Amino acid sequence: MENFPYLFSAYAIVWIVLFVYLFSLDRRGRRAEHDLEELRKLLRAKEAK
Amino acid sequence: MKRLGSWTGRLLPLLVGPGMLGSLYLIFMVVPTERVQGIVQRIFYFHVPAAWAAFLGFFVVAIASSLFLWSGRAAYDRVARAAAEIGMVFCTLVLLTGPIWARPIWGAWWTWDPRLTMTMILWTIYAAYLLLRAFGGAEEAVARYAAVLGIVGALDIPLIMISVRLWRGIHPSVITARPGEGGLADPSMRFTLLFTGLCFVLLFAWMLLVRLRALRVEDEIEAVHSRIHPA
Repeated sequence: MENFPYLFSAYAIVWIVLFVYLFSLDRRGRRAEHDLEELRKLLRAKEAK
Repeated sequence: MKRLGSWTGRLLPLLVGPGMLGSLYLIFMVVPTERVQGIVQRIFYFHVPAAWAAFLGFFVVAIASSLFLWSGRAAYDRVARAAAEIGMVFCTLVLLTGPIWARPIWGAWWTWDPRLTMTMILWTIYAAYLLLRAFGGAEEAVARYAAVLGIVGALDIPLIMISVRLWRGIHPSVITARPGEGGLADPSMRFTLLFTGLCFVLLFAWMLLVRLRALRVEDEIEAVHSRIHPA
């Protein structure tokens, strides 16, 4: 099992980077949808005046 | 089109999840250990598909940017922005996993081999593209400059592909190796690489759909903002 730490590090890095990016994608998507809903409410309130 | 997007958006994670698990099974339980490099050669099965996904991403940037310059439609610009970001994620993985393989095999984390250098240039070009998109503002002129950069950057990809042969670099040629030059000798090695490559392409497609959805919402926010606060 010579060089196992290299193999382990490479696969660990790939999974960490992919999970962090997928998590950030999900978070940004949710935040954008939340912001859009808030803005729509604001717009409806403004147009009702 | 929207319905097709939501349908594939649901299907892709169902394919990617088991696909990635299957890849790991093939890489660690099925393929034989390479005779010369030992277990560290197994890094290739993620390193090479990550490179394919990165190239695919930047190729999509070039196509979408060309269509944006030609038609001026914001939807193409959104595809280019999303693909550049995801291409960068995969290109970063290539540049991280490559040196981890190189250290025990070449005895150095990094050498200025033509393929490595060209890949670093590719990463730098698209880093500049993303910085331009992040800090350049929302004007159409910025989108047009970025589109040109996105197209020019993709011209580096064929150079990376041929760099090993063109400049006689030390980087291994896995796919285009001729008989007797190494490459993947065992059929299970080739199958595993192709299978993992397919999984990475599907992962790229899924990420692209998710990012595109968020970008569409961000553009809608911008439109609603301009209705509330007209310039």
